[in-house]
Formats: sequence, structure tokens, C-alpha cells
Amino acid sequence: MTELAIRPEEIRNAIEQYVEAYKPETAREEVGRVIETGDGIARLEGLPSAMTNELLEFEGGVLGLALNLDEREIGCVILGEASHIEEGQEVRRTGEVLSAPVGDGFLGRVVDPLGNPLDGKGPIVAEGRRILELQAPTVVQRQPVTEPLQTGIKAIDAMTPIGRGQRQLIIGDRQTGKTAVALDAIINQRDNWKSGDPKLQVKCIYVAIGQKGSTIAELVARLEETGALEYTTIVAAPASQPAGLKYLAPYTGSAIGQHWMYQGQHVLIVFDDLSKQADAYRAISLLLRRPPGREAYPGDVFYLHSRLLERCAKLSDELGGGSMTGLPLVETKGNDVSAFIPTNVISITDGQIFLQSDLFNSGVRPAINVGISVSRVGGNAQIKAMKSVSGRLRLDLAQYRELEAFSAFASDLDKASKAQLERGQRLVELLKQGQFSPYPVERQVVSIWAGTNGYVDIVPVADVRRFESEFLDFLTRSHQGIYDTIVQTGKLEDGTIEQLKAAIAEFSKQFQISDGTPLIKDEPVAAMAKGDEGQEKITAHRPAPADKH
Amino acid sequence: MLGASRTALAEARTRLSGLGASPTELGTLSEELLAVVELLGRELPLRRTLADTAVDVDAKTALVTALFGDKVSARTAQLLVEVVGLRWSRPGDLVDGLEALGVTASFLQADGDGTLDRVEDELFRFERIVESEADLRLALDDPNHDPAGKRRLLSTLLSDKTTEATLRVIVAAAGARRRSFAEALTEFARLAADLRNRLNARVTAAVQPSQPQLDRLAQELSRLYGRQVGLRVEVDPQLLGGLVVRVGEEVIDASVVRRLDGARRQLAEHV
Repeated sequence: MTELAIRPEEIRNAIEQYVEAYKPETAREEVGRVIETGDGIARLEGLPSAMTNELLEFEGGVLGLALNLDEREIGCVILGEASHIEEGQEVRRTGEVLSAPVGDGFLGRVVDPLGNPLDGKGPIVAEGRRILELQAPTVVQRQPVTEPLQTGIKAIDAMTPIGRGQRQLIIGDRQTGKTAVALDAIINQRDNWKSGDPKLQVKCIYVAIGQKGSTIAELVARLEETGALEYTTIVAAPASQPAGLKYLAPYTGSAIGQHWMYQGQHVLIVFDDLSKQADAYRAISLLLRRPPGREAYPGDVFYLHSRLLERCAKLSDELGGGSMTGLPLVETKGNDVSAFIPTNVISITDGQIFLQSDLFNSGVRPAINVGISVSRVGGNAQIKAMKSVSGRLRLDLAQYRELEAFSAFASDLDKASKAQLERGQRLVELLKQGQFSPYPVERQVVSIWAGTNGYVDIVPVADVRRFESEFLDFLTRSHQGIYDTIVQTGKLEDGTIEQLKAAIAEFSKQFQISDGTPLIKDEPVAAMAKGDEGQEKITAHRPAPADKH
Repeated sequence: MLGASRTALAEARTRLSGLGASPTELGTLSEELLAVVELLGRELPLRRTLADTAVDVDAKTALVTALFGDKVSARTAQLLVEVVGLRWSRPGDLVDGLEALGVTASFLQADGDGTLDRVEDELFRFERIVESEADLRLALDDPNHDPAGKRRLLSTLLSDKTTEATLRVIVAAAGARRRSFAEALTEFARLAADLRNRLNARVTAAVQPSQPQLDRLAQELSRLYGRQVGLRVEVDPQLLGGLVVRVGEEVIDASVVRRLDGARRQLAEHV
């Protein structure tokens, strides 16, 4: 093997050639001065023509964002390493209002809120830049939400369905599976992506705000493992980043998404989570000495979220019919959905999924509280088959929850209540679903059909989940036609129902419950009463012996 | 200054230039106006009353006459009455306006004497000195320092070295409210340039440029900004080469140091 040797002159020449590409330009620039800096904030003097949200350049190339324009000074948030910025240093205008690079190059990448790659996979080729503070589509540019966005989670797709272009809040305490729900929704878009049909494909954006670096790394690994990373962009502003970047991250994510939406494509964007963004914005506002309001949030914290979430839309057909579905996450404290930020975001979004910690702890996962969770527009986006089977589900579950509380005190229940309780327990079991196991919609339909029509009532509660999964697999093996019909027609017609009834009867016969006995036992035979028994008599008829004559 | 105050200041300036006073009289006028400014800076209730648009103009006139009538010259008193009669949107603006008038009067005085160029040059040189002397800057910028002490300090430093008008303007800058000494001085220098409808450009070069070079630069800058441009040249070897021109808030940076920095950053970004 020859030794690799490069002479210093060669290196010097190479660098020389490289630097030759740099063409210095001399232009009129506006220059101001830092008069005070600290806590990621700088106050500047000069720069009389700076615009709001303009990027300013500090010495050493660090960027800042002009937020407060006062008569004599500018309040500026430093986006990056602030430690070497000193009083007296020069600050230049860039003339560029805050924008982010966008394009297909961002798929499969992890970027910071300024669009710089964080994953070490090299520079990203952008298709263009998009201004972050752009107004949302107007009323005439939109159309109602009608196409479903399947999350692959039975409880959500059945009871709080999400349509393309909808904003559905996922809210709950810490550690109740908010991120898991959002992640499953992303992973469930894999089949759509694989289909290669742009009408079905959904590009995903995951905005991580103020999370642990390790959590983000794990999430990326998980997406990569499941093959979901290739259609996902991750905008990461981990907890270690300055507040300015955390405040910007959702806008960057939505700029990247809007670019696709206006090209007529479908986008799913997850903001994880907006309470941390509100906290970052509160920090910035207080440091910039803006007057604090309730819970020390500034007066425009509502606008902070409303202008962000309004950008999620279903565009009209003239504009290509693209959509951006938003899944904002908000963390509550002590299951209190009536705190300031949660109520703000609830009032902006088209519905919410409330994940409750006590449900989570009692093993109901996803821990969706059926009573408080709603979807205001998603019903129109459900496929007909799902609509026809899930209509009773919410009602049944709500009645069950009511009865459950009541039955804790009463031991004797009438038959109807008892049946209701039994049904409820089984429905709850049926809606339990592990993480990273999204269900295609046809399997969801069959599963919920079986539950709401009482076909699992005979199965012991402990065996419901096994019964369900084995039944669904049984259908794949022996009755694939049922699934195909549901997928093709989107409906559950009488013929299909008959087929399903026959199939479940057939399957129930061969199902064994966990104690080893068959689910459908043979007809019990009553013991016979005394005297009932008969005795078979055998009479041998022999021909009479022939007379010996 | 915004809105009504801006109109009021323009009006007051016209009155000042319309006085037709001799240089000596302008000197007195300037001295007295700046003394009134110092007083108003201290006396909040007086400042508020004089700028209060709800108070009748006659009452304000009576107040000004009673207070200053026998302490300042008739010309100053007359100008004060006129200025107070204008509409100022904030009390601070009235004081700022009077300050600008006082300083402008000094420049007009110098203009009458034919020393305005010298005054401008002296202001620029002193600004440079203050910039390089941190202790002096701190002393002048400290709002807790006694104004009389600052004045003494400046008189000791500058007496016999500068014109009377320069010293007066510098003292006014040291007493300026709400802004640093350097800022106030830059603002005053702009007033002087405005007087002749000129712009001041601050040129920093690695070596002293020759006169033809400077002439060409001035010509080129005048073309760029559409106004006559006066050059103030300083030499800073740290630039290595090239020029940095600063006009108001704008900078044209054609120094070698900046280009090297740009090249280095280019290299660091992509490696």
C-alpha cells in the first residue's frame, strides 16, 4: 500500500483555489452597535431602517432577530452562541426578513430552526426560501376538510377522526403518550408513501421544541427503523438551544410544510410541544421588557399560536388542493385542561385528543379520555364504513364510564346495566393498542364492527385483544376479499356484513380461551332422569331348526 | 422626534435663522439657551407645564417672561416665548428642541465668524480622543456626575485649544440627557452639516490618502448620496489596506481586514 502523502504546497494551492471562489463585494451597509447584551438578548443602537423580524448579523456571523423597534434602540434576540458578543461591537443589517430554506431536499433530514442541517449528512439543496411570518391562506383559498388522514390508531380514527387540513390538538400531562400518538400517525403514512401516488402521499414534519437531545436522537432512530424517516423532516430546537430558536422552530417547520402544501401536496406537521414554545416566548418577552400578562405570558401569546396554527389548511382546488394537517401538542399540569395555554390552543384548533394520566396508569393505552376528546370537522373526513360502525362507539363508551363509576357502589345491577358494563369493558380492551403498531383502516373497521355489534361479548375480557388480533389475521388468511371490498368501496355493505358474520361465527368456533377450553362449548347435554334410560334389546332371530323328518 | 414635535422644531429653526443676529449675539443666545435647557432638564414640573398643550399660550408666555425675562437677553426671551408657544408632543421634545436650537446657534455663530469648518473638525477630533480614552468616556457618560464638574473638566482640557463655540457644543453634549456623549456629539455634528446641507463622511484608511484621492472620494460619495460630502479622515493601520467610509448609519467597508474575514468565514462554513 502506498503511503498517502500530500505536500503542504498542494494543500495550500487547493485552499487558495477554494478561497478564490469568494468574491468580496463592497456595498453600502447599515451598521449599528451593541449597547447591552446578556441572557441571549442584545440591545442595539443605530440601524434606523431595520425592519421587524429582520435578521441582523453580529461580528463573527452570529445572527440576531430584531423584535423590538424602539425610538432609540432595537431589542434583538440572538439566534446562536451569544457568549462572545460584547458591548460596542458592530451589527449589520442583512436586509432579509426572517425566512427558511425549503424544498424536497429536507426530507429525511434533521435541521435547526434556521434550516441548517444537524445530522451531519452534508449541505441541503434548497428549492428556495420562504418567509416565516407569512399570512395564512384566506377564506376563499380554503375548502372544507373532507379527506381522511389515518393515524392508524383505532380510538382516534373511530372517535376523533382527523381530516387532511385539520388541526387536532393532542393534550395531556407529561408521560401520557402524546408523542407516541403523533409518532404513530407519522409512521402510519408509510404505506401511503410507498404507494407513490401523490394524492395519497403525506410528507411529515416533526418539530421538536425544548426536548432532550437524547429524546430527539431516539425518535430519529425509531423513524429510521420503521422506514418513516425518508418522508419526514425533523426541525429540532433542543432544550440546550437559546430561547429565540425555540420560539422560531414551529414557524420554520410550517414554512417548510407550506412550501409543499402550495404545490398541491399533503403535509402532516407535529408541533411537540407548543407549551415549551410559549415558555420560550415568555422568556424572550420578559427579557425584552415587554409587559407581562396572565401567568407572565406577554399579551400576544394567543396570537403566537393562532397565527401559527392558522397556516394549517386545506387549500381550494384552484390552488392545487394541497393540505397541511397540524398536530400541536400541549402539556398540561395535573390534568388541568383549563389552564391558560391549553385553553388558548383548544380554542384555536378543530378538536382535541385528551390523554389522561390515570387512564394511562390503569393500562388503557392510548389513554384517550373519550368524554373530553372531540373532533369538530373530522367526521366529514371519515370513510363511510368507519362512520357506520363507529357511530355507537362513543355513546357506548360514555355510558360505560358513567355506569362504571356508579357500579363501584352498587353490587346488584339490572341485566341491561350489566350488559352495558360488559360491553364497555370489552370495547375498552378493543381500543387498546400498542405503540408502533398502526392498524390499516379496513382492520379498524372490522375490529370496531365486531365490538359494537356484540360479537366479542362472549369472549372473556382478558382474551379480547388476542381474539381480535387472531380474528383479523384469520380474515387475512381466509377472507381477504372482505378487506379488499372495504378498501375499494370505502363502505360496509350488507353483503360484506353477512360475510363478516359468517366469518366471525366460523372463527369463534375454533378460538380457544386462555384456560384452554374452546370459546364456543359443545351444546351441554342434560343428564337423563331415572327411568328414562331405555335398554336396547337384542333379539336374535334364528331360523327354527329344520324338522328332521 | 416625531409628529407635532418635528414640525415645531422645523418652525423654531426658521425663527432662529430669521433673527439676523450678529455672531456675538448668537454666542450669547446659544449660551443662554443651553443654560435654560440645563434648568429644564432638572425641573420636571416646569418642563411639563411649558410643554402642556392644555395650558393656555398666554399663561405659558407669562410664566416664561416672569421666570427668564430679567435673567436672559431680550432676544433669547423672545425666542423662548415663541418656542414655548409651539406645539410639542412631549415635554422631553421641548427640551431636545431647545437644545438643538442652542447648538445650532453656536454653529451659526461659527459660520458668521467663518470658523465653522474648524469647529466641525475640532468636534470630530475630540470625539476620536474620547473614543480612545476609556476613563474620559466613562466620566462624561456617567449620569450621576455633577454637570458643573463635567464642565470644569472639559474647560480645563479644552480652554485655549478650541473655539468658544466648540467648547460650548461639547459641554452641551456632556450634559445631554438619555443618550451617550458620543451619540449626542454625532447628532450635533449632523446639525452642523445640515446647516450647510452637507453630509459628514468618516473615512478610515490604513495609510493617509493623498489629496487627489480624497477629492475623488468626496466627489464619488457626493454622487452616491446626492449631497455634498465632507470628509473626516483618520488612519488605522489595523485595516491592513483599503478604506472604510461611514456616512451616518451607513458603512461602506472595503477594507482588507473585512475581506479576509469574509474569506475565512467562507472556509469555515463549508469544511
